[in-house]
Amino acid sequence: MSASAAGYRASPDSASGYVVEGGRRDAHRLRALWRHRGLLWSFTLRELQVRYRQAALGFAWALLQPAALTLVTTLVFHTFLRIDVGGFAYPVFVFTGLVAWTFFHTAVSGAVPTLVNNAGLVRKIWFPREALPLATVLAVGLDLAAALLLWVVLLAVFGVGLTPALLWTLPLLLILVAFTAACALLGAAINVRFRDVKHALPLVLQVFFFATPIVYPLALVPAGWRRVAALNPLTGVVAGLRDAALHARAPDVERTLISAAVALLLLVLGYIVFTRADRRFADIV
Amino acid sequence: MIDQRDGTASQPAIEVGNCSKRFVRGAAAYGSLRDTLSRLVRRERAAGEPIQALDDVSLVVEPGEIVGVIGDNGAGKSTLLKVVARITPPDTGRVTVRGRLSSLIEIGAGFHPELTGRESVLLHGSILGLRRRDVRGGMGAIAAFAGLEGAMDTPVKFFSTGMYARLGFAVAVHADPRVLLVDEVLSVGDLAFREACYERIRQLQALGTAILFVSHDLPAIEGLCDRALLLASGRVTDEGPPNAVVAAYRAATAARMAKSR
Repeated sequence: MSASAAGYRASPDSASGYVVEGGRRDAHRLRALWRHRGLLWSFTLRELQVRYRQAALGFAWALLQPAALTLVTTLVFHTFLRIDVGGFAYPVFVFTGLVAWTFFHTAVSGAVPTLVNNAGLVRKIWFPREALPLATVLAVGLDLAAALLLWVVLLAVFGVGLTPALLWTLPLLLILVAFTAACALLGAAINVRFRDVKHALPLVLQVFFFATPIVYPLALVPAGWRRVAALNPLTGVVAGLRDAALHARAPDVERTLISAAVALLLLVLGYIVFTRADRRFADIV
Repeated sequence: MIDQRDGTASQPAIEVGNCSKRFVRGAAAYGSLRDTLSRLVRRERAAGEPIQALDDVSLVVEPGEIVGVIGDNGAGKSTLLKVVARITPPDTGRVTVRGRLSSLIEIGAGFHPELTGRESVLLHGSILGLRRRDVRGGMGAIAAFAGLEGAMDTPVKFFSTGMYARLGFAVAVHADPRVLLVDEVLSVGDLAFREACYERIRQLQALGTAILFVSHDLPAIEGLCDRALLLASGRVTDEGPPNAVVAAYRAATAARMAKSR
C-alpha cells in the first residue's frame, strides 16, 4: 500500500521538521505561524461553529450587545444627564464608540482564557499556540463586520451624511485590531501563569470603558487629562471614527499616530511576551 | 535506508543529543499573584523539590526504524516524547526532527465536544500542519480506518472513548508522517483496532517512517521494535535488541522487588 492509497499526500511545506535547543528561543516563530495559517482558520471556524450551534439567537447576539448598550447609555447620559455631544443624535454618537468597544471587549475577554480552556491540546500536541487567542480575535471580527454594517445604516437613518471621509475608518480599524490582538496575546500568556487575571479582567475592562471617550465626547476631557487619554489607543480609534463619520473630516493626525504607535508597540511586546512564556505553557497550564 | 516515498537520503529522523530537563513539583508550577508577591517579599525561592525528568539522554532513530522505550512510571518516557514532539523544550541539549511528526496520543474531546467527527478531523489535521483540502481528500480513508463511516456528522460528545481515540489515531497515521510517536495508548482501542494500528505502524515503517514507541506492553515491544531503550530516573540505563533490554528490565524489577521484600 502506498502513502497516497492510504489517504493523502501531505503538502511539502508543512513537512520540513525542526530543531529544538535547550535554553534557546525558537527563532522561526513567525514562519511557523505562517505555515500553520490553515490552523488559524480552523480554530476560527471552530469558534464560530460552536458559538452558533449552542446559542438559540445565534448571530443576533453580535448586534444585540451594542444595541442594548446604546439604549441604556442613551437613557442615562442623554435623557437623564443631558450630556452635550456637539449636536449629534446621541444614539449615533454612542454607537460609533460602541462598535469599536464591543469588538475589543468581546475579543479580549474571549481570548484571555483560551490557553487554559484548551489545556488538553496544549499539553499533548505542538502547534503555534498564539493561534488560539488570535483565532478568537478573528472570530469576533465577524461580529465587528456585522456591527459596522448596522453602524452605516444608523448613520444614514439619523441623517448623518455618508461622505468619503468615512474611508478613514479602515486605518482606524487596523489600529483597533492591532491593539486588540496585543491585549489578547498578553492577557492569554499572563493568564497561564497567574489565574488572577480571570478575576482582574472584568474590572480592567470596566475601567477601560470609562477611560475611553465612548459615552462622552473627547472635548469634555480637560486638556491635561487628554494627553493621558491619548496613550490609550482606543481613544484615538473612537475619536477618529467620530471625526470621520460625524464630522466628515480626517482624524486628528497627532492623536491617531500616537494611537497607532502605542498599539504597534504593544503588539510587538505582546508577541515577545507570549512566545517567551510559550516555552512553559505545556508544563504549567 | 532510502525513504520509499521520495527517495530522500538517509539522515537520522530523530536525534536527541544530551537532553536534560527538570521539573519543579508542587505549588510553584502556577499560582496566584499573591503567592508570587509574598515569595518576592520574603526572598524565598519557589517551593518544591526539583525532579530530574531527563538526565543527559541521547538517542538516534533512523528512518524505517522502530525504537521502543520502556521503564517504570515516572522514568521519563512521556517527557522524552514531549521533548521530541517539541511540546516542552529541554533545559539543555538539542533535539532534531527531520520531516513531519505525528503522535498517536489520546486527545480525548480536546478539540471541542460540539464539533462533529468530520470537523474534528479537519482541526486535528490543521494542528498537524496539513492543508484542509488535503485532509478533506483523505476523509474517506480516515473514517474507514477508524470504523466510523456512519458517525462522521455526529458531534463527538456522543462518541465513546474508544470511538474518539480511534478517530484521533486514524488522523495521526494518515498524515503521512516521517516521524511517529506512540505513547501507551493503543490499549483504549479494541483488539481489532489495535491489530489494525500495528499493521499500519509496520506499513509506515516499510515506507521509511521512524517510530518511537512507548509502552508497558513488553511483548508488543519485543514483537514490533528493532531496538529498545530502558529509562530509569531520566537516564538511559540500557539500550540494544528488544529481547535483551526487556530481559534486563524484568531482571531489574525482580531484583528490586526481592530487596524490598
